[in-house]
Amino acid sequence: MPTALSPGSRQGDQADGSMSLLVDMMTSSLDPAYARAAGPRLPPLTGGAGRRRSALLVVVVLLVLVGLLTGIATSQVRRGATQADVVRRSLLADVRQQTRATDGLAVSAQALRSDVARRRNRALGTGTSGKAAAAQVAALELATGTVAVHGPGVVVTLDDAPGRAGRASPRGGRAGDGRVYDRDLQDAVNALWAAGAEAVSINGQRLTGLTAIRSAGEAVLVDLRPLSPPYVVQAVGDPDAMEPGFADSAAADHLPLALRLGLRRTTGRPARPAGRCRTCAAGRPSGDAVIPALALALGVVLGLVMHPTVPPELQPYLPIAVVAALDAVFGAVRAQLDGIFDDRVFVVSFVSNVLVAGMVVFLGDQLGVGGQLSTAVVVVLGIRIFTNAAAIRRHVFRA
Amino acid sequence: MTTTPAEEPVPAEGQSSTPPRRPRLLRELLRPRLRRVDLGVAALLGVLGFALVIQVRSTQTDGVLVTARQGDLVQILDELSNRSDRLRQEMNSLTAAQQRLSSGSGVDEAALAEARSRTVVLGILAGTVPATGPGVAIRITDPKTQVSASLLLDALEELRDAGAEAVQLEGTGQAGRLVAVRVVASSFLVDTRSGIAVDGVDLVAPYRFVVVGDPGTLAGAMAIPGGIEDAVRQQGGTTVVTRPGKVIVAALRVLDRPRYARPDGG
Repeated sequence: MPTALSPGSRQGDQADGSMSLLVDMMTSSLDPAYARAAGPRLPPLTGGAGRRRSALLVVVVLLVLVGLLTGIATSQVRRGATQADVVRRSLLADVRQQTRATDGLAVSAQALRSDVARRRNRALGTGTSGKAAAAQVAALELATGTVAVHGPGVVVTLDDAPGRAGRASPRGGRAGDGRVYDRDLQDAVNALWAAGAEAVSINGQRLTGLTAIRSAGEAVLVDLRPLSPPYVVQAVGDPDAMEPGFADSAAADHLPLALRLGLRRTTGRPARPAGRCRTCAAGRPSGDAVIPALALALGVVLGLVMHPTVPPELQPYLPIAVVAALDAVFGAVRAQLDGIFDDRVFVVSFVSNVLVAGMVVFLGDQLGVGGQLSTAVVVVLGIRIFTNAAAIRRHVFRA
Repeated sequence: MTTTPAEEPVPAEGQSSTPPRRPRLLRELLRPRLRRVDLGVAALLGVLGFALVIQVRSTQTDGVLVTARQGDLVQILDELSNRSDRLRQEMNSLTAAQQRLSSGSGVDEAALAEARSRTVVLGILAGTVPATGPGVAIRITDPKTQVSASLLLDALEELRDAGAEAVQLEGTGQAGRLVAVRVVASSFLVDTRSGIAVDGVDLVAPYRFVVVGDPGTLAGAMAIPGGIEDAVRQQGGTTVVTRPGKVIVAALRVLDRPRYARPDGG
């Protein structure tokens, strides 16, 4: 009985071409279209003419479905969402804009503050009373967290437990779904202060008397700034006192049950040796790398410079589309190194990857399983990307 | 449709070509070619690069807030506008100080005055100077002794988020007398047998937060559905928020002198 997961062994079970599509995508990560396009030069990666016909039928049905769903999606988007959605979207946009404005103000204020401090210290530097005043200010700045510090200490990392559910928890409550919320971070930071920490930061945000840790939905905000996991809590202090102090605290007791908790001392990290290309050569180049690479770079530069805002209707689909497009690119690079690259196959696979991935996510959203389906799509695409990357590595490094 | 470059030898069927030497491969890859389909490939890759950057950007900045509730978003907006008001005020006074410190005469006095005012501002933050101003007093009763240090910590973070500038926590101390502890960044709360301990000082209920800040925002922060007031009620206690018009945070503490933390660049 041919097993569904072994490539090249499916000769008879083509009746359910649609079911095997996802499995095909996972196992034959290099699009067989490249091999077919390369013609009689190389043996095709999967055999059988009957397979080609049914694959063609599947593609046609797929494209019709994609066109249909795209039409439905665009018409729905045009019709407009409910009132609550509109209000929410405008609120989110306001928050984003206000955060940007406040960040800009904070940067200018910080620059002004440093300039005033510099002038003040220069003017104070002369007399004894001046020096005493400057020393007092410096001591206060050190104690309140208004000046950056460094020193020995510990680093505590909190991360969401793998396989967590994707729903929002009641505010400030421990819903037990394995996510890190504000209470968990607050308790961890509290335990660090109790163990003798002198300065604490979370993902680089310094904690002072004015900074707060709170949750909004699934996001954790520190100092009104949303952060995403893993949350790296750095604490400067005596490591010999803090490590056992934290481990013995009530917080460390119940945190690891729900989340992944890591505690390590801060030490210097040895630099990793750079990879070396022992022999580079593979297959036959049948295209060029300059113009596509330049185009990719140009796109990145344009994106960085232009700072566009994505309409909220398209936001959930953008990450999936990007990953699907990356999958097509990795497949193309591998095909290039195998010597069977074909431009038209690349264009078709690029466009169809993006459309199919977007369609699957949209369908999932309509059915209420959006999060899970998009996870599945990302998993499949990820496997393909890894397989192609491994093949590329074998070509480049001969290892 | 195959796209064999004309210069390349076509091997016989079934044979693989010998891999060219490295310099030749590099030269082949780097020779630019301008065909219509190549332009299509380039265009697609350009779009990919563009979309990649947009997505990375949006994940970094605002994708995280998508699941926040409407009430939370309104609260965040409120706090953001309070903060930008405070920043603007600070920038006005900083600009004035800058001018005083850059004029020719009287710079020394201006510098001393500036250092003194900075000492006061930082002293409020460090808890070495009393603070007064508009604010609220929040009284939390705990008849069943079930209000935990973690809950009070949550209340403290909520107050900080709502713009608290000086906080003291009061309760009944060991001798049965009222004790007030100034709360700063490094304050910690732990559970004790009969209540809580703030920075090592034992307190029992009823607890009282005295907070300097905007009264409306502070009171609103306590009343959020599913927030502190609800949590205290679940533990059998009550929360009473009063706005006396002017509050005084008089509890002081000794300045922390870190032994391990050293300022950067010094």
